[in-house]
Amino acid sequence: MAEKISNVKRMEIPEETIRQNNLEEVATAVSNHKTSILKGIDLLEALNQSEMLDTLTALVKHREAALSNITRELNKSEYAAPVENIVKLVQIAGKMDVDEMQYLADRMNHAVKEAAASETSEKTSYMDLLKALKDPEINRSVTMLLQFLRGMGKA
Amino acid sequence: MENHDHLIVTIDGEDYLASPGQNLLDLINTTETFVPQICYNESLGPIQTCDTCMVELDGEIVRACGTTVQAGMNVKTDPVHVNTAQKEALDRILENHELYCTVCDYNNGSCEIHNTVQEFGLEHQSRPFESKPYEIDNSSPFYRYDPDQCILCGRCVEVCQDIQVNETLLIDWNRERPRVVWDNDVPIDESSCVGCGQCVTACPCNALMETSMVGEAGYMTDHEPGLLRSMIDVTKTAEPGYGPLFAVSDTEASMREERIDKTKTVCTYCGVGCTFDVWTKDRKVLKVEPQQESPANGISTCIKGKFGWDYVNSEERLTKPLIRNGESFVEVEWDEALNYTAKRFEEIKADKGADALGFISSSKATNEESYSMQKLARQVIGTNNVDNCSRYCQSPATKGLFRTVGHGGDSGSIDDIAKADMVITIGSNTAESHPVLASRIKRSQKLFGQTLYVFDLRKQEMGQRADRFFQPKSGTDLVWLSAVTKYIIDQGWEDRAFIDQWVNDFDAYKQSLEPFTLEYAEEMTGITQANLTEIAEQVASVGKLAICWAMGVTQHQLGSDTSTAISNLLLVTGNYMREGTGAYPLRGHNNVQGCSDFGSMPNFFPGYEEVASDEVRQRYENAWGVDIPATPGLDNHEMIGAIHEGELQSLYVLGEDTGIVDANINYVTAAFEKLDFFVVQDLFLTETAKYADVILPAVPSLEKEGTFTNTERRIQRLYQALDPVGDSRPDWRIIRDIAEKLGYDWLYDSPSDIMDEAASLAPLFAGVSYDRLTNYNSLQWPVAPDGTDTPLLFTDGFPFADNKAKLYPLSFELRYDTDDEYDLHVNNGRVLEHFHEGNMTYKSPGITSKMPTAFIEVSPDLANERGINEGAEVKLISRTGEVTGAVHITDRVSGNELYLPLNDNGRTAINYLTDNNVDKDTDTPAYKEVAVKMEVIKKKGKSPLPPNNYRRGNPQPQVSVRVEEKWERDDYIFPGSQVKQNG
Repeated sequence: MAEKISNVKRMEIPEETIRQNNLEEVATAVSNHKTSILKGIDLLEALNQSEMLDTLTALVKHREAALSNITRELNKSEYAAPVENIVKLVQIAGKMDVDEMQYLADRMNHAVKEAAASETSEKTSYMDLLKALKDPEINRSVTMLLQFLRGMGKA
Repeated sequence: MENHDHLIVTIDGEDYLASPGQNLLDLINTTETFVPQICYNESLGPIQTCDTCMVELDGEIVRACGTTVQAGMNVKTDPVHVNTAQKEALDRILENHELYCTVCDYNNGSCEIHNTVQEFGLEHQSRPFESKPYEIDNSSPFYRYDPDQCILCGRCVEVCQDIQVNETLLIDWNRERPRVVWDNDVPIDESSCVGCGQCVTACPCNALMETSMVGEAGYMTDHEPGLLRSMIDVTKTAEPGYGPLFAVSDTEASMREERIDKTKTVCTYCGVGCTFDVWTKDRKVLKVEPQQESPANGISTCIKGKFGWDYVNSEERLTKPLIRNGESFVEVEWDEALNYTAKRFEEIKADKGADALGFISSSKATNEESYSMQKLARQVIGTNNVDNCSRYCQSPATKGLFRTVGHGGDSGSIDDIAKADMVITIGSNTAESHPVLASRIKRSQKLFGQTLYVFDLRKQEMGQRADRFFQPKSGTDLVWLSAVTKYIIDQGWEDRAFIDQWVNDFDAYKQSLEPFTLEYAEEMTGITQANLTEIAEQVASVGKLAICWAMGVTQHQLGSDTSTAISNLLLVTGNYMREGTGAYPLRGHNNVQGCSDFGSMPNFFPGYEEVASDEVRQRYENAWGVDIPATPGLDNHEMIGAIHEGELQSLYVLGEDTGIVDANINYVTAAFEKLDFFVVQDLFLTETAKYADVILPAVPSLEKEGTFTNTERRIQRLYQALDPVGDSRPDWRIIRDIAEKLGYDWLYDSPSDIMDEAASLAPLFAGVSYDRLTNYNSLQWPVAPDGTDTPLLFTDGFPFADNKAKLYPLSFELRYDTDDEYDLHVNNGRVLEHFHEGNMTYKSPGITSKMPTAFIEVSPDLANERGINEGAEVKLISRTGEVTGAVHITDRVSGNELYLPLNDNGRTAINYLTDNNVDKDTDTPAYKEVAVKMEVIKKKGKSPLPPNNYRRGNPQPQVSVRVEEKWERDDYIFPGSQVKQNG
């Protein structure tokens, strides 16, 4: 014989039990990930030492305001060019052929070294220049420079 | 017949085989060649609005999607001028759509604009984005429209007009800046939109988006509108050219995978069995996304499946087992609840015998749970007193089919209904009860010349759309069906060859039809003789006929006989064994089919094998190591009676609010009060649960694994999307644990173990296994051991000894009518928005805002006669009880007929009015036979149907998106021609 009822007595779980259960759950997780946790503490300490922890905390708490300030600023016309330039510079970096540049840079460095070492103070006459073209090293440099100028003109 | 000839088409110099009639873009997509495309979608077919799929065909630039392949076609996709035309089209799209992907909630890897622009390699746009002069429409609780992001591809319009066929959306091409409009340009919430969400699913970008996604999906999208705008601007400056933009946004999109889960599940709101991915973030349901490969529904959904999931996070969910103690239920731990339940079961069994216990499974729970429940009853307790709630709706249909064709399920698939030349629906409010299936019929009728005849008391949407609509007098369908069949035979129009080869008992059946003359039928049904002969002519003349029926047939005292009459008509006209033909009882709940299939029936083991059969019983006895009683047990209806008679002391009800949904509430709840021990397993403290001694907290479909079987006999897997709330548990696990407490260790680790056992015992499911059901794979029973399934039944004959079907003789006697005192007939059934008694859908604020309460539909004539107006409050009194409710006046009902939706569990609950009359063959309550008298409490009041209900909208039917109107605009130039001009 059961009447219709709708009253429900919730199970009263004491605060202390809930706290105990939560602590146990956390303790298990900490124990399972001991190494990462210790490293994490290290990282936190480093951030704290450098006062970055305070900065980051403040930033995250005020993220909406921060983001708003930054985007407002970035959307000003004077920033349009710099922002775009930053990205474009990155794009330029992406387009450069670093291997070739390396080759060229090596030679430049070598040239600079040679020039610095040279103690010649005499002037070079027109004839000296023509004669110098016979020197295979100079000839190679001049040819390379001419190719460079041609390539630049084509681009 | 399909033509299997192939023809050769050359694409970029390579020859490809194409099928006749194939769309050129469709063919290109089967090759490695990339052609940009945005408006094209396989599920929708060509719309031809986006102009991006330009190709050169025999020297001319054309839209590939607007071209049908012809033999010898020479197609080029890569010449420079073709590429320029494609780019021009993409530029036009980007004038209409701002790419700020990183801070867009739709940046989830599936944005088709993003993906197309990226794959095309477009780096910059030639012309700037231009904002449109329209506000975002945020009026709907379900989705929002952002005209600024809308590229006017018209997919949403196509899907609304021709797939869902609700005919709400269109594009107004005549404005200076065209946009999508709802009805005659009203806010979404005030339109005829039914909230099916298919426009949102079909939208290729973020123009139409689920409200639940906005500000939720992205890491950087949940900001104040002003800030979001600033961020969009920064994004655009900082990401010049699309390359960097995509690099950043693609990274952000893959980061989203980390916190958004996409899980395949099966809808629980009706027997269509829609499948989709549900996107969840923690416990939040972000959205429901149907897939092209969803077997039953494709990209379709209805309002409940798409937006009705709030209940899983309801505060009212039960989270701990409850045991009655005096005037209260007290929360206890599982062990205590299970031990107590087991102890009480044992005591009652020891005291009164096993048959003093009853078990009721749920047609909302899984197949595995149905199997477990009947195993608990039969093996552990030792009784066949196990049934399920499909007793309330569909058992008569199953009975009618068993009598005639031998399988109790739909003859074919939903595809077959769509393919039929003619569809007849009887007693089915298909557009509201099975919305996605109804859409297939609506589409076939609208676009492909299918003839639709609707037989119903009420002129609901299908009745309004039908080619012919008939309103036979309540409960007389058997008569017109038999009269039409008789007339066909009398005229010699029966399918003689089919009958000779495949059907038994023709002569006896013909004899039984004698009384069903046209005169008699007219007198009983109210359908004129002229109309009856026209129906017969039409039925006899079509090649492929499919008949769909539902509760308007089954919930009568002659429900089984009427279902039988339907099958008889199909047999006489040869409408079985072929595609596009057959009998389709439209199953109500998601697992009405499966719950019975898997043995929760008093007379059947799983797979409809008789309990009374020694051979079958022995198979189960051997497997389970016990003796099982040979006599069938009690069905639901008999269990309630047995409680009143003191023969049943214990009842265990799973996932069913029996005290609301069984007929004659007062009688049923009086029975509950007499029980010695009552266990209810549910998500909520339902009206039924309030009578329980033990309430066990179960989980909804999103929190468990298992399989459901839809109306097509299609078994589909659901995967777990969320963790159970609190201490709630899946039904199968609870049943398993009770069995264990009673000394039977079933060793099931997961539902797949249960399915394996069922498949090993029931030949109907021999080849069913979880491995064959992964993701969107499905199986339609019978399934052979090698996994071969049966989309279309009876292709090799009927499952009787001689492979022949049987015509089953019937007679008719009018068992129900109104009289002078109880002068009004109460029709009752579903509405689109709500499910069953409303325990789930009323938890959705969006759905509830559209339909806050049940109501009583009254015809204008009756309202006039009784002097009542919209919003009046009336009391309806039947011989068993009374309800009160608010009146909605509508011509969907006529004369002295009322309609009361069944979705209320309070003072308007229909079952206060229903009585103990049942179908004479299956004990299904005759819910549809309710005569009442009406007392007016208040003559007018607030309308129960809010102004934002779709029924108040103004649909705008048209075919597709009317792209011709776009092409006729003065400012429109075909990109192909433009290239020519410029080039």
